[in-house]
Amino acid sequence: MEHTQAELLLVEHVTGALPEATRVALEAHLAGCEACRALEASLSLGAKLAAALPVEPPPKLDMAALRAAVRARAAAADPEGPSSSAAAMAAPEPSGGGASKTHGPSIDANVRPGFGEVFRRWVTGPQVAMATLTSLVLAIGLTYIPLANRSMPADGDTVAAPEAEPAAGAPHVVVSEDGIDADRGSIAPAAPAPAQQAQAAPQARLEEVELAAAEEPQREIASPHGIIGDEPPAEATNALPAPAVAAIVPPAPVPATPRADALDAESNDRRAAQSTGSGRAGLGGAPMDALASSGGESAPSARYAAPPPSPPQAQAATAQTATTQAQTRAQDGAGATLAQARSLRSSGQCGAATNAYQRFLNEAGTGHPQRGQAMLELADCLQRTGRTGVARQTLEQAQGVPSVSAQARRELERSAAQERQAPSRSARPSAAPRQSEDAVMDAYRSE
Amino acid sequence: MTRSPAEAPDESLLERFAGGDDEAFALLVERYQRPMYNFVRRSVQDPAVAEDILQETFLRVVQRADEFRGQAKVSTWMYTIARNLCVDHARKMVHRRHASLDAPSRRGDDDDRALVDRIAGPAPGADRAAIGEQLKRAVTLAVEELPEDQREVFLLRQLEHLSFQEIAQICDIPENTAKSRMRYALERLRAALGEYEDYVRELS
Repeated sequence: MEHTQAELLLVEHVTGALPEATRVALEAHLAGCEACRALEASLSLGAKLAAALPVEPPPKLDMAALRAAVRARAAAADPEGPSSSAAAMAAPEPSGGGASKTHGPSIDANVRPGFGEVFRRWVTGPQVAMATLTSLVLAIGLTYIPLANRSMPADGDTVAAPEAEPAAGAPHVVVSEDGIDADRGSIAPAAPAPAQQAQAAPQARLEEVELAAAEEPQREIASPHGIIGDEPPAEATNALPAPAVAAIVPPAPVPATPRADALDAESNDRRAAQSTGSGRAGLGGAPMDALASSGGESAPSARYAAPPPSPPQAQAATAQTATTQAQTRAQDGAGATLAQARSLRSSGQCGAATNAYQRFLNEAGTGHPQRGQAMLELADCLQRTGRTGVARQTLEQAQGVPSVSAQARRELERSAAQERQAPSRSARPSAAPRQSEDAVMDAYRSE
Repeated sequence: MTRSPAEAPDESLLERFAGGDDEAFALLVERYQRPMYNFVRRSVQDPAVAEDILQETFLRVVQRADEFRGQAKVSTWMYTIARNLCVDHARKMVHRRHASLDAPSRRGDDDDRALVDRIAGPAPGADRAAIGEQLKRAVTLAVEELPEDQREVFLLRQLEHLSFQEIAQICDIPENTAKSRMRYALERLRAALGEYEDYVRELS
């Protein structure tokens, strides 16, 4: 036996806890170990002294409370049992000595609450309320933020339109034999007649938007920054309402001016000609002043809406729908800009209209059917503001657009004749601050 | 051969009172209230507090009867409850420290002499009965002055006669640690009660 082990066994030995077999082994070790014998003597004396520790009688406990707790516990564990909770809550038995002491916790507090009570306390706890509130906020956020993003004004679409235009416009822009931009044919190449009728609805909606924008120019201009000027800052014009905003403008019937009537007649003629394949009809001889907003377009067009999938063409139409929607988004933004430009122009704010037309030309790209018309209108605005040089360059560019080539040529001739008659007109300074002509041209020359 | 109710094992009494038999619980209380009270009494040193803790101990035995899994003896489980209550009480004491043998006593009486002075040896010429009473008071004081970890081991072994294995379970310490603490407690007591060694030797 080792010395360390013997020391531990000595503690058991002197306190009477050592088994007999171990005690024999320990005594054999003690016979040959002086240190252990000394320790045994010391511990043995300590144990004898400790034995003098007096033992006190226990106090009189509150046995009635303890017995009641026993019964109450049994009743709570088995409510159907013979010992009901009422019995458990019976008056305590007399304690006899009268010295018993009532202790802190009551018997009620000793009864364990049932599952229902525990669940009720848990549900009504503050931690559950906070968790519920947090979940509610998250759920509302996750539900409405995507919806809000979806219904945001189409500034993003407008900005993204020039980037999407080459992909959406270039492969699909087809110039028909008669010179009319026929991108609509690529979008809905073989849409049946019923499908075209169904497409008239979204197109009509867009045209209503354009018309409303043309008829309520002040509301649109004043909305973002409260600025109604000839040439608002670029950021202000960029923030002007997009189609999503314009779409909520009700198409209030406004009496058409004679100028608008003439325009409508021309536009209807032109679109009727386009729908029948004779694109040049309806534009001959129209003066620049008569080239008012063509926002009153109401002819059906397939370029803004995808054809509804008919059973035989369902798969092809589905494949084209995505492309159509992308183009529609891009052109919707450009269409809104054009409507805004026409609105400004019709209200006489040619400076602001010039900027809007330039934005439209940048956004619409070469495939937009209104591009040529917009260039003519831009030239008109430029002439009105005295920028005849830029107006002439615009008309020269418009000659490259087949649909308005002849009219642009006539306007150039008329403009040249006017300059010959009044050569000083071109030098008339514009009252409104304006951009440099080079900058104006660079804006859409870069396309 | 049937046992009388007073001889029923602790586990049987626990099972019975868990089913609502308050008489079985009364037997259990009767069996353990004396040793358990003395353990608590020497641990907290205040009779009123010891009484409260004893009552609370038995109350918790009732409330937590379902928690007893039979992995230890019922007595070990009950002493664990009592010991935990004593520890909780000790933690509530603001100024709680072990007084050294030459430090003033922290007892509430007017005797502020050092422990070595209060545990004075038997007076010359005193009879054996008087010396015995003096020794009891001296031992009580000496036990109170033991470090807490040594005192609880000493009390469980000296008063309750629990095995060191059970003591180790109650105090949540290794068994050899319990033995070491017991050894140090005995050595301290011997050092504090050296004046009574002759008296004790004469008794043995």
